[in-house]
Amino acid sequence: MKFFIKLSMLLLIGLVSTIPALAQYPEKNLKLIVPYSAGGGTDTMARTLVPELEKAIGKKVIIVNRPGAQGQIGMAEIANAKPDGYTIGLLSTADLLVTEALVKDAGFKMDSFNYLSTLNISANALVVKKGSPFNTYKDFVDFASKNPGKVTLGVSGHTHVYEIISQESQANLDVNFMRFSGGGESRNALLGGHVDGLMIDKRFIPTLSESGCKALAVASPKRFEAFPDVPTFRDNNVDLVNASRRAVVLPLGVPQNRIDTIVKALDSFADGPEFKEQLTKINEVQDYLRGKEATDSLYKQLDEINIVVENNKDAFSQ
Amino acid sequence: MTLFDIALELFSFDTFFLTVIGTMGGIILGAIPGLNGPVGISILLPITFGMEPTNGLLMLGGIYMGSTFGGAISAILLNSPGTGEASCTALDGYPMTRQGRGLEALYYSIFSSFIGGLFGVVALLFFTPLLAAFALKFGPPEIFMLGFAGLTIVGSLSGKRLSKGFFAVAFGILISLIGTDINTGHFRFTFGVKDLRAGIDLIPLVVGFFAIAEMVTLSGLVTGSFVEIPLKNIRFLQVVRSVLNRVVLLIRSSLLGVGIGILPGTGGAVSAFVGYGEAKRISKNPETFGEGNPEGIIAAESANNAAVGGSLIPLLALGIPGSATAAILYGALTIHGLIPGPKLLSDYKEVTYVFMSGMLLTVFVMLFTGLLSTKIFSRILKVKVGYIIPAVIIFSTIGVYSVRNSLFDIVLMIVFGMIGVLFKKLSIPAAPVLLGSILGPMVEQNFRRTLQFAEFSDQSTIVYLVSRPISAVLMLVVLVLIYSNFRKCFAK
Repeated sequence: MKFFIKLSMLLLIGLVSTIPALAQYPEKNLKLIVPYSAGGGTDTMARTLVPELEKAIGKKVIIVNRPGAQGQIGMAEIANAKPDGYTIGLLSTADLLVTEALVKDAGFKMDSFNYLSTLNISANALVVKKGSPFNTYKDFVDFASKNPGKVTLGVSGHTHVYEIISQESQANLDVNFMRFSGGGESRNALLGGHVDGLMIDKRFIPTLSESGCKALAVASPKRFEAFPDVPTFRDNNVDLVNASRRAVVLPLGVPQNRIDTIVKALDSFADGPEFKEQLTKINEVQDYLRGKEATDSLYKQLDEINIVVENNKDAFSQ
Repeated sequence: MTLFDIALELFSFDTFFLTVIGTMGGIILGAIPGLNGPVGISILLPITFGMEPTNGLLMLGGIYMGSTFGGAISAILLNSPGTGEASCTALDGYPMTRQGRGLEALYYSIFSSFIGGLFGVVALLFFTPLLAAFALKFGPPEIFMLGFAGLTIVGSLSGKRLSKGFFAVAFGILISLIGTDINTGHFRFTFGVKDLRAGIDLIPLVVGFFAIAEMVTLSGLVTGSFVEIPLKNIRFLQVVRSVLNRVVLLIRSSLLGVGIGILPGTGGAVSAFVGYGEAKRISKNPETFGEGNPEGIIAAESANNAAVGGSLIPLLALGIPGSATAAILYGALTIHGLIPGPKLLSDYKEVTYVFMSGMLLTVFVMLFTGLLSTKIFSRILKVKVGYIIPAVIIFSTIGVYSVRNSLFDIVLMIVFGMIGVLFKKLSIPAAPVLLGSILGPMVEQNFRRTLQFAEFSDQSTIVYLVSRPISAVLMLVVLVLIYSNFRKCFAK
């Protein structure tokens, strides 16, 4: 008899504990994986996003920083997370794209994610040091094409390498690469005049210009409102457009109704003027693209990168 | 903005209160083995978003300052530093604890941290533009020479057998090679393990080699309470007098700390190692280091707290973080709409100067909180080892996990713990392992950059190094350091 009482109690507990599963998603807190350290650009974006997302979705969203290997560790974790809709990721598309194009066996592929939306648009700019003889991008191209190996540019990460090789092949340049482990290090080298220029995210243009550096061109489709004087590479007849965005992604296999819930929550604020203002405060430009549109633009960008990689195999294999 | 305005803002109730809370919280956080400043700051970052910029920033700044000292507490009492910054403090602090002089060691660490912190903040307040400009002169060749000079400290960390120290530092450098090679993007020594591509973080290494190895060793040796001999009591003022008798050492290590803190890619850990190494090299009784010489604590603790102010200098003046913690503060500033850089000091003068002066407040809060809490902390030594060991291991595990939210790092911590036990059995010192893994990447990457720069300018590497004044001076320093390391060997 006692055994049956125990058994029925166990069954009862089992029954009770399954009830919440039928309740409406989300019933518990969500986790947002950021594949970079606290304090960086993507992390800052995540921390601006989260309070709004929490309001819209009605649950806490916990940021989990998973830094390492230029986002590869964290991106792999998002791709392999349990697809129950409780793990979201915020990626930097620049790193995602070059990883897809250049890194073998990263533990994830471009198509390991479901792209819900991209929040912003940014791009890298070519910035030259204080006192540099180059006042325009044309000055730089003229000098660097006539004087091979005389200009040294700082890079941190595969994206910058790709962007410089693309310029080299289009404008017939030959510049030296100096690799740094992060933007802080390379900016330091620029300010100290140890490199002639570098590729860096456009949000650093204001601080660097305050220190006397000059932004010559930016790899965006059109000029940024905040920097009307900085032309694009296209303005200079170099077809280099490599927008970088922050994408909200899910692993594949999340039930559609849960995807819809998150998308609805994002739609409710991420395109609005208040969020735009918050992004402006952290030096980011709002550019909200939804699911298919975001995915298509990413794959289009990947094709462009692959062409450059294909045509310059030697440069990339170094 | 006058001094009066700054004071008014600083001593308004909420600003003062949050600064004090941040500093006290930082000390407690630092004192827990495995937990540290960067972890605390990233956890508390979201809370500060809703606050006034000055309040939020000062709370985080307080944590930074407080935790840099707090790490000394677990290093001294339990030989379980949670960060690279505190590991040199364990070298002489823990032997003092075993001699029943734990309280004295804590007093030494508080007062030296106070003076070091003061140096850093004063440099921040008065010399920021000047020092930031000087730091920029350090390019890859200079940082390479500096890292190389740092490696010579191995002589001071080796104990009786130099060969064992060399082995340990080489082991540390080898560990630092694991991960993605930034020059080529290739994976080194990852053996197909994807997690290793991110490289080995310093925290699992420190915690494994110190806390875990110490606890495992203790579990086999000691029963009863942690330190059996009666604890010696000492008055704080006696310690202050003793520190002030070594005023040259104090000032030298504080200045070293500030200077190293300003340079990119360094931070408190490098400062502490260099401060400690120099103190031992110059000391008249170098053989007493590692056996409970308070000078080791004075040097390490003043240097690492001086680096706090130092690392904020390039952050505020140029927008370049000088340490891992400063990198998180960069994010905190950005979210408040304060983009670090030259404009911060002109357009956002109010917030910036209140923040800088507030850092001065954190130094004093650190002193008073430290003093009040030492007696409480030193009671840990009367707790039974049977309770201490599991507690330290649990906290270490939580702390190591929280750095990168990585279970893999816990595995690493255990592996390094086992290697650490083995090292102890073979009496191979652990500190050089940390030295090697901290300085390894700094030396390697900057050496490779130097080679490239020399090639780009069509010079041989030696000519290139000598032709730059700062690197030439540093090269001379390196030669002197190497000579003084081997002097004893030559004399024999």
